[in-house]
Amino acid sequence: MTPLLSVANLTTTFQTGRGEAAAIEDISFELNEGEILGIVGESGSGKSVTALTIMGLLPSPPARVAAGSIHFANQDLLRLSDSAMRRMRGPGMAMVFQEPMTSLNPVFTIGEQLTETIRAHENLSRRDTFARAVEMLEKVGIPSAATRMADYPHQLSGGQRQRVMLAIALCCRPKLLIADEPTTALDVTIQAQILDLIMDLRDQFGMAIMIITHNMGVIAETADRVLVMYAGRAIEQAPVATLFDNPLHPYTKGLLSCVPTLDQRKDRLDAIPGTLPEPGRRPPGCRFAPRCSLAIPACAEATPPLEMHGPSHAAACIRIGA
Amino acid sequence: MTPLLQATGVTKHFPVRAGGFLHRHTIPLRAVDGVDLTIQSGETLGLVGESGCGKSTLGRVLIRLIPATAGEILFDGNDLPRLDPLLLRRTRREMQIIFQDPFGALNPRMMVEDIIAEPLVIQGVSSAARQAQVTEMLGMVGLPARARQRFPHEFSGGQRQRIGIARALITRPRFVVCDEPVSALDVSVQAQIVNLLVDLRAELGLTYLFIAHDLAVVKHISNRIAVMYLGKIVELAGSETLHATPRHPYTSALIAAVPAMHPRNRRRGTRRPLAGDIPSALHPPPGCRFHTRCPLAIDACRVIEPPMTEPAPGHFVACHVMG
Repeated sequence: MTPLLSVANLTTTFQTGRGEAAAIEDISFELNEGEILGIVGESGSGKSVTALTIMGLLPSPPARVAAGSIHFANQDLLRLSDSAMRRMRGPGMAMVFQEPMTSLNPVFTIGEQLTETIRAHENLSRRDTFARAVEMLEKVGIPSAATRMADYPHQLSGGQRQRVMLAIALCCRPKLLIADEPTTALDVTIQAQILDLIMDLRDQFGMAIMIITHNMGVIAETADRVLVMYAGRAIEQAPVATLFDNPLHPYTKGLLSCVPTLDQRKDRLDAIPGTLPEPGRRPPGCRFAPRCSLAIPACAEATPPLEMHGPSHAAACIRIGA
Repeated sequence: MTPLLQATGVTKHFPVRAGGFLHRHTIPLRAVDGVDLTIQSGETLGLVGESGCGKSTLGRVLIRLIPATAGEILFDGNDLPRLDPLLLRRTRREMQIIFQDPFGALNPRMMVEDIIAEPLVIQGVSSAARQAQVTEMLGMVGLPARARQRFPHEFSGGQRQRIGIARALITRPRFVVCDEPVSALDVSVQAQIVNLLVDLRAELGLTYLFIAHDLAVVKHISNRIAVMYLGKIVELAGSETLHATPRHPYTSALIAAVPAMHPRNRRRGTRRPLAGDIPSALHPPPGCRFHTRCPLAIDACRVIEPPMTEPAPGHFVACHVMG
């Protein structure tokens, strides 16, 4: 089976005042139909830039794909024209963002924003368009959907707005849904609702999902496979159970043990020392080395390659097993 | 132990303009609506709840950053809302606050040493003494001495939060309100700040009110936890007790909503997430405020507000069914 999405050696750079800086470097992964890939990383790790590059939503300049390829549904996305790319978004791939407050246009009703998307991609009558929009709102769990079509975004709660965002993203039945921190702005009880909804929609529509988050709990709840990013590079990739049972990279280990959980009792948390490097001041060699307790001088000399350490388990660290 | 802070019937209503052009009037937004709370000297009380429940407002009212609409707050025996200005300024030295947003809480035009020393300027401490104390505070929060002459933008989020902590602690307060001190930080940095707050608590004998929406962080740092919903405390118990045997259905739902920390323990299918959203504090539901989302609600919940009961020693809950 050829994967639905195949990203190879992707490097995206940004033109800055101090020259061209790479936001992501040499990112490779595949995503199969119906699969959920979790991309986990902290601020500046490049997880959102990866998603926006795939969607073709980064303004160029300043952004530029300096190397690599993106194949989606047997098409080379980087060679598509702007208009072909526009047709691809919607029925091919769709995205929901972190901020349901700012992603919706405040001066249009949610009905107008839903039907706009449907009209852009499909040739349906007014009545059918309206019916499809109402159906999508019902599928994402908006009560009395037909009357809510006339509501403006400010009349909805944060959780409902994220449901509307999902309805807009899914109204053209995309093969791939990219969810960029879909629950970060929401309260925990609402986060649980939205995560359950995303899983239900996957079961119903069978689309592949790329879920981007900094929260290991969200990964544990949803992902089939996980890609861990740090400072613009992929540092570990594994099936979700493998990653939680046997994390290999010191950063992944740190991420998993530094958050307190409800069931444990300890006096001190296992903090990762230091801070994340800024994009312009990334250290040479392994970018995690300055914060790593296992680092040796060789770590700062060359970038560790992403190597296989088990079935579909790759990690970029020369100190594994040390 | 003696209570350091004792609050009774604390209420904070914000007037909100309502109505059209012709019949304009104000209605109260009931951010905090009759809260009783006792904080013992040396303990850490956690305060959890979802956004809009009034937890930050309560924290600010308790140290009189904003005046209470009604209620009594005894801090070390002094009635805060009725304290005369001179005595209030002296008392303020004893209570400080650490804010959530380390980007918005620091003046970008002030150098770090001026930011940290500002509370002492207000307290009338001499310049030489201020300098010495800034040096000491920088060391205590783990910032290098060369940070003094720099500006906030030169620091990462975690380091900025250290500056905010140094500013709060330089007056040597006894009581510190920590208002979501780690929620804006990257996860790998959160643990550093939580550990720092724990260390400083032991070193300086601090009493914390630790406000957060992350139940796991609150449980880690707190001796007791109060759960707030729409302006009211609905449950209060020791942190282990609250986690092991929650009584209020809202507390149970909050615990069930925390994501699993291993894919084997996925919650999906095993829990029923709480339906619906938090109602508006402008029009809180009658009776128990949680009844609109509660899976256990009975007729009484829709009409009668449940009183706070103590079903086990030190475990308080306001619920008709589980109380």
